[in-house]
Amino acid sequence: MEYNLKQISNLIENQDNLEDEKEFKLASVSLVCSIVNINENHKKEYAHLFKKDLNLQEDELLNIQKKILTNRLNINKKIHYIKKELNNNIYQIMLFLKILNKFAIIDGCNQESYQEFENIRDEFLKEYY
Amino acid sequence: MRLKNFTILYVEDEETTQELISEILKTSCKEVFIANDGKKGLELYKEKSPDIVLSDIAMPNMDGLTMSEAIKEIDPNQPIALFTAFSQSSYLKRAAEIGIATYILKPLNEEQFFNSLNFMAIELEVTRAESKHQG
Repeated sequence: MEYNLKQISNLIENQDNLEDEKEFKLASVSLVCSIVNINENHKKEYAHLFKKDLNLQEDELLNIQKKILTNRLNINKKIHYIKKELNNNIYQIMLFLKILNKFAIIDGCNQESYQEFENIRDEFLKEYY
Repeated sequence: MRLKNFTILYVEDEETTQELISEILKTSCKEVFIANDGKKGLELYKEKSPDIVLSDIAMPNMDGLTMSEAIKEIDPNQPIALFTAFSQSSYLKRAAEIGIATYILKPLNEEQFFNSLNFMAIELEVTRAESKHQG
């Protein structure tokens, strides 16, 4: 199974349900940024993953990071927005979570990143547990 | 409960921990297979083909990472979760390279433990439904 946002977007686009790709990207990147600390040391590595898995160019990423810094981030609101855009479809939610999981362990996994991933994962899946 | 449909291989060398967690697993899962080290774990894996593998990392004879690597060679999609205190960074880097994406934090938080198991169970259900749909 190939896990990338482009594939998820294609699935959704086929159903004519993705209303605003930019908003979806902003919500997705907000979640990723709450999991990982994108410092100068790992900037290139993350930029590559953002491009590959989230179909996001470096300038788009910088703009989104600026927005995240200037707006108070409501993670649960982003999660519910993404779930709604994914039509609460468990297959698509799991594809999305696999992407977040990959970001959480990219650098060999640290406790803070992984626990934040778990919190987001459990909020996504609470009605399925 | 979702886990009632799944079999689990649990590999742990520390006796008290093994007793505690295997009791928890036995009440929630279809069947639990237990091994004391990676070598026995690998043998049991080949014999029983469990749905989910749970393993400690540091063990005698064969450690959890070497066992996981051997299991991933047999089935790259096999869900495996490792118990970790997150202090073994070199182990965790290797674990990520092997393709292990689920970790259970030590000391154990029972709710998080079940959430992680359920996450793997949902992933298995989704993957199997997708394979069935395609095949």
